[in-house]
Amino acid sequence: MRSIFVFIFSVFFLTSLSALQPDTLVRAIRIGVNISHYGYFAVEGGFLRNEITIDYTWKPKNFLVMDFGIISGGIKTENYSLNANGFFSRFGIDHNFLPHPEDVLSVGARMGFSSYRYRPSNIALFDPVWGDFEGFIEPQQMSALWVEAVFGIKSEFFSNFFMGWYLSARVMLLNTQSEIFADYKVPGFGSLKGSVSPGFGFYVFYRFPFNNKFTGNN
Amino acid sequence: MKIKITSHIKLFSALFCAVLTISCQRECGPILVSNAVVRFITEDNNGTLAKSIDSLYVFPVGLEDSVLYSWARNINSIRLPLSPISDSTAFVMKFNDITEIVKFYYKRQLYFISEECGFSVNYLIDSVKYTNSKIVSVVIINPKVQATHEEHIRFYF
Repeated sequence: MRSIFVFIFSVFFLTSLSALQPDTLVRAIRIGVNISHYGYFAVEGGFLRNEITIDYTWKPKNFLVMDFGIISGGIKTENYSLNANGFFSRFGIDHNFLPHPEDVLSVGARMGFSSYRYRPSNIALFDPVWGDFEGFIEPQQMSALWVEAVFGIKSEFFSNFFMGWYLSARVMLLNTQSEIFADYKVPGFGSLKGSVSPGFGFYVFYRFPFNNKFTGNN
Repeated sequence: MKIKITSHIKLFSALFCAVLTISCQRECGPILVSNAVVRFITEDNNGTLAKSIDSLYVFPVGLEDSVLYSWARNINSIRLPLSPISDSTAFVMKFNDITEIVKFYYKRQLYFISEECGFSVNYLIDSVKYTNSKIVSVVIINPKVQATHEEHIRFYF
């Protein structure tokens, strides 16, 4: 499953790169904020993720995309506390299938990286035979590298303001997740349970237009 | 083609609700404790066979009131709760009128189950010592004791 996914990702990535023309002129940079995390945080609590995305129009139908996010905060329950801090980033390409530049229906590929630390504390446990006891775990510094396929839609709803959402399927390539958190979340990737981790996001964007126009066969 | 803002909002609402519904299973269900699973085996000319013990009484040394098996009848496997606060646990096992003491040596490791359930303990068995009163030999099949029903140890009679 993983090898198929990596193969598709590689083909898409290389095909997109081969289409790059040296005389392509920049048209716009679009900066967005992923607001779905704030909705989730307001309902569920837990860790706070701040995530921005930047896309750069290097061809009329193709965008270079970079996401950057930081994770902070923690979970506090009766039985444990878990604080996290770290960052993640994704780089990749989107291809737009719609002719209208104010509408984007895209399929893309990303490579993601995450570096993060989990700090458990105040661990209280109960064993039905041995009774209550306390646990101690050193802070765990971890990192991960993955690829993902992305499907997204965005459109202009006000001059240079865009709204959009994406769905993604992520496959882990390498990670140093400790056995203590073997099935838990990797910031920017999601849960390590299963071979594919689904992702979802909802963005609000602002586009910084340039005067440059595309040339050549674009 | 122009994508309407209302389409975005409807799609977003539907997907966000779906994500929340999936992730909102906040209850921690019953947790299987990481117990060492021991099977009783006997060998004869026909090969290896499961051995059924007529009557078995088991308790951890130091916890005489916590009887794990009280003259259990016709039993061929047991689950033993290793101590999460020590690196070894001894059990007194009475096979009818024969008493055997078995001691497990292991490493402990806390692990994170989920946000709802918190942490639990796994064990890695290093060795097993026994008094040789009833048990002939002990084989560690799988040293990693996790919250599963897998077999870990075999006691040969």
